[in-house]
Amino acid sequence: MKKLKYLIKYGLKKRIFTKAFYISTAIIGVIIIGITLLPTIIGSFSGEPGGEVVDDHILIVDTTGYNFNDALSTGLHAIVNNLYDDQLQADLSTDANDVPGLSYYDEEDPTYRGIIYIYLEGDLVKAKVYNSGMHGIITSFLTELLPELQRMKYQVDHSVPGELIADTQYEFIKDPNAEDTELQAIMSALSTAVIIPIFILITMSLQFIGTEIMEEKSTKAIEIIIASVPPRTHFFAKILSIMIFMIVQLTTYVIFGLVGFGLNELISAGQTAAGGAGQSWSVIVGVLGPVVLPTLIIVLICAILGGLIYSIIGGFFASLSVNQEDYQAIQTPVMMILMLSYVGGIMAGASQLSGLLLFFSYFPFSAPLVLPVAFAAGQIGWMEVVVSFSIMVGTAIVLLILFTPLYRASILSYDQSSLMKRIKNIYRTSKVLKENQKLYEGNK
Amino acid sequence: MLEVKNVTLKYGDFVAVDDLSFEVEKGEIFGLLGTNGAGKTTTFRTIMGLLYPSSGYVRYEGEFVSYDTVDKIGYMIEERSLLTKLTVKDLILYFGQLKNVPVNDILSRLDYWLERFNITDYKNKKIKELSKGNQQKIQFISALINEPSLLVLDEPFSGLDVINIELFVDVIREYQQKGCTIIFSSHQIDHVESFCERLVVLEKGKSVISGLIKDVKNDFKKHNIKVIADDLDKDKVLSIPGVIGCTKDSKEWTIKIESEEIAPSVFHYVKDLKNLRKYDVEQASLSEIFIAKVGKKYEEA
Repeated sequence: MKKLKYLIKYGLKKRIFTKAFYISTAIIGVIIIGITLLPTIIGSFSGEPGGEVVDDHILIVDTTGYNFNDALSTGLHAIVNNLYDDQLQADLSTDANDVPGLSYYDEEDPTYRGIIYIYLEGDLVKAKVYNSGMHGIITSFLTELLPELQRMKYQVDHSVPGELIADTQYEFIKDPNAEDTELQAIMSALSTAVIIPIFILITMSLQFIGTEIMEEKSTKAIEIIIASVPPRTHFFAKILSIMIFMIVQLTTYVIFGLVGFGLNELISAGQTAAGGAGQSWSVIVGVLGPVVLPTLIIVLICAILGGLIYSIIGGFFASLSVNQEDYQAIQTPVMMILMLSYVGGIMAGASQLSGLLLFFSYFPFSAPLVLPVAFAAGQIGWMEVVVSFSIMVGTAIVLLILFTPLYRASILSYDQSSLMKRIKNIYRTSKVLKENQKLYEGNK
Repeated sequence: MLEVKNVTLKYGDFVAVDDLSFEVEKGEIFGLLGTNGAGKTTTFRTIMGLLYPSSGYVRYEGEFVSYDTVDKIGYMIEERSLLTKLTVKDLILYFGQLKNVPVNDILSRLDYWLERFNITDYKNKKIKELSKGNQQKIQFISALINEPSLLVLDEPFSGLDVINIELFVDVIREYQQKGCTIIFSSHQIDHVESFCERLVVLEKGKSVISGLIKDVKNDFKKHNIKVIADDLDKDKVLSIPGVIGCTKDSKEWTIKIESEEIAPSVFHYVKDLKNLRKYDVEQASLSEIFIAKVGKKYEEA
């Protein structure tokens, strides 16, 4: 255990306390903060407030009798007027018959860009939002205000705890005609953005573990190391140090992202208060708002699980190799699978073919790349995500069980035959080693 | 004491080591020789606990060799086994900590050894910047850093000049005097001859020569007679029954005889030669014994 800890610490130290790590982290940090601050940066270049026209025509139907439609309309005008050229037209109604239901989405060119329907269910205030392209500021305002209607009804503020007064439940009604080309376009673009960091992290883990093991093996230093620590400890230590390094790196990126996000929200709030054109991320992500955070969490877990699976494979393949060139050749099939998964992930984001997405999401070697996209696209739910995570964890365990005994034979072998023959030889040797160990320990 | 008892190591049908037995006492230097592929590395790996024998056992100080005992062992392999991108200090810290040696002890021992080997300036240099001989010194230091009670040295003198070989020999002798058990192999058979009291010679996994070097030499009947004299007739010498060879090396003749009993017959011929300045009956060298048993020169093997 002491040697395992030392090896992990050694691996981490070698990677983290280096100039390369500091420089790359600083560069990536600046990029992440820059990206998260983009709305503010763009906003500051967009000229005087009021430059952009918000001319949506919407309908607010309120059947509760509490005149929420008035409050909504006033609030909307106030916020739009503050930021844009307010040409918003909000019709008010108290007649439920004015709400067309799902047939709203059947109209080719609907009169209203959006309909907000507020109604009572028992004593509870509820709301439905039909949206066929309302401006982001309106959807953002609605997501902020609609939960507050219940409190407005009782004229209480947030000093009254949530257990006593529940937030208003509201729902953005999806277009059942699924051909949401705008969402598809967004997802297509998003899938690349989501996959690239995971792909890079997995490739990095594959290369790191390979390089490190090869460095020790090709110089024969491995003989001295394996004479001090069992091969199993060495294998686990290499994987664990890569995983911890990945987690450190991801955490750093998340912190940069949060700093950037926080700064952007702070600046945008300040600009809004001053009548400027500050842009909040919640406005930008619009309808994708509710899936952004869960998707980010899935991305992080997928990066870690993907890194784990591929570093186990990379570690074993490196132990089979005799030098760096050999490792590059041997890992080609693994890189091919990774590349195919990468393409699969991008295709999945664009195609929206649920069957294909489900296959790629359950196939453990492509799942880390495809799962976040499939989830963000709404093609799979939490249940499928949990199943996919379980498959990935199970695969990592199976790979460890399979490769650990082989690693003991392969790490000291300098066999240069073809890959399949090498694996066959290693399998035989590991079997003999296991039998000999059993006999030897039996004789003790 | 290191005890290797009836060790056989098989990989399927291939027998890497076949029923090998020897013992190395505390404070003894023991030689393990063999041609390439004879099973030397496999034997060293088995002693180090990296491989398990199919039958037989290896015990050190009464315990079966395992990862519980490796911290007491210093191991130096034939090829350079150094992480060349690391500095000397980092490498020794790495290897030392893998042997559970506290950092402070590693650093003080490193300073001592660097001074002893006259390479103090290289402490913070990368291994790849060092010469072959200095790399060998670092490798030797890495084997000594845990102050082992058992030293396993595979070709410790490889790449060293005569002066540095002497330096290594001094250290090995010092460890021997401290009671360290030392097992070592070398391609230079004269090192083994001058260094070890006992040895094992492996050929295709089997022990072909084993025991005290002096006994091995005594058991080996063939002797050499060194002669310096004028007008020695090679054909006449070869016609003496029991003489199996006669060669001239600069001024000195070497006459190979089947056994010591032949020596008087040779002397009978030699005594009448002009200017007889040397007549010396010697035991066969270890190298000759090796050639006789294995069929080729050790250095070539």
